[in-house]
Amino acid sequence: MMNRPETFRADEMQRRLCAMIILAGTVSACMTTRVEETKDTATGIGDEESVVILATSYHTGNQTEDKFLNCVSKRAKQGTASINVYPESEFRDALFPWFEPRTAPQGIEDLPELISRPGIAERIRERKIRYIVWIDGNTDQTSGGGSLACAIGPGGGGCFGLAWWENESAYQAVVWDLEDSTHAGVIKANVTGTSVIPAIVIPVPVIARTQAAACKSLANQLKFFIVNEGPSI
Amino acid sequence: MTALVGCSQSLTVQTEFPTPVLEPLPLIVGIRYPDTLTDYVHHEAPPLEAEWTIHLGAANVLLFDKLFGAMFIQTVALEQDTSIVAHPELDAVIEPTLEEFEFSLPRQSQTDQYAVWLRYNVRVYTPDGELICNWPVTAYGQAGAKTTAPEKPMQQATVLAMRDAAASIAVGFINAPGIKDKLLSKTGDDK
Repeated sequence: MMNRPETFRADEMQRRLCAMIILAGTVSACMTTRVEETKDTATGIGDEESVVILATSYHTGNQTEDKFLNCVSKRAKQGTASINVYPESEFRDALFPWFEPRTAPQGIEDLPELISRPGIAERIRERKIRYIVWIDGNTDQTSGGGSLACAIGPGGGGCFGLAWWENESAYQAVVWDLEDSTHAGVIKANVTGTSVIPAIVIPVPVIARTQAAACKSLANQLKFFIVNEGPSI
Repeated sequence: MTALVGCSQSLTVQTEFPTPVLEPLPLIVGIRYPDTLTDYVHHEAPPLEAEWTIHLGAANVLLFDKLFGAMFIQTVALEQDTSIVAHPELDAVIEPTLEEFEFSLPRQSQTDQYAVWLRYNVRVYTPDGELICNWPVTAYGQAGAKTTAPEKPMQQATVLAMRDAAASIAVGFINAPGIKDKLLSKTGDDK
């Protein structure tokens, strides 16, 4: 008889925990995704050709996360319309010191002069690199609020309250065609999402993974942008 | 906090620098590395952070060997006390030094970045010891904090800053003060 209330409490806690886990698994955070594309020239890529995906220089204030760059490279290599992606670090090493953050061409107008330097065109050709994709942008927390308090005591612990925040992931990919030193176009991906952590005893985080969503959208669009020769739909 | 302050981080920068893609200048250059460059160690204990000891000497030598080897048609390694008279073939002598090293940690900058600033001085002399230029080269590198040991992003930021310095020297050398007038014009006439 003495154990009954504790058993009841343990059962109740277990039920709540299960409910919260199910809730967290099934409820996804609200996100809004916008993808825009501007294509200036016809594209297309051969089976043996590849693209290199680079972050715009941090000397210009760009703060693109390494994680995002790796994500886009990985996704571009996978699935429908996959493309070959040449490793970024190997590209920078092969063309050192011309693609370091300080010396990399800032605009397409700088490219012909760079390519005309001894050894540059040959190295690009040897590696069959057809496009350079410059990634710019980052993920920021734009707002947040609420309050969440947690306490622990001899009889157990728990949290109560609600915290929320909004993230914005805004990235763009500028595509240069190295075959004729032209600006092939721009793809922009903007994802906003609100994450919430409601807590009645157990906090249940419902996280808006805006950066992952932006990566997926940008990489998918990039693949079709490059593979489809004509203007994109 | 006590644990944090009590910890220390030691890093010996180890990396391979790529060979620069450059057209070598028609110069035979003696390269002299002072002990302050080859034995460079930076100690810093930021407030409420672990003390850092960063060894840069070996990496400095690797960087400048690769860089100058690609920038000039021939380089000659000179000891500190080598007499230039023993090398009449030289057009110039270069002596790089590392004058400043600074870093900031994610907690200090309130970002997720490790950042490194460097300032090298590149002194260029004529074979008879006249100073042609004393060129300060500043450089910057940054790397995102990782969940692994903090040495990794610190090493990455340092290497990026060193590559940044090398890029500046490679691209800007001919426009450094005095180089075109006192060095390249002379060799252009001679060779």
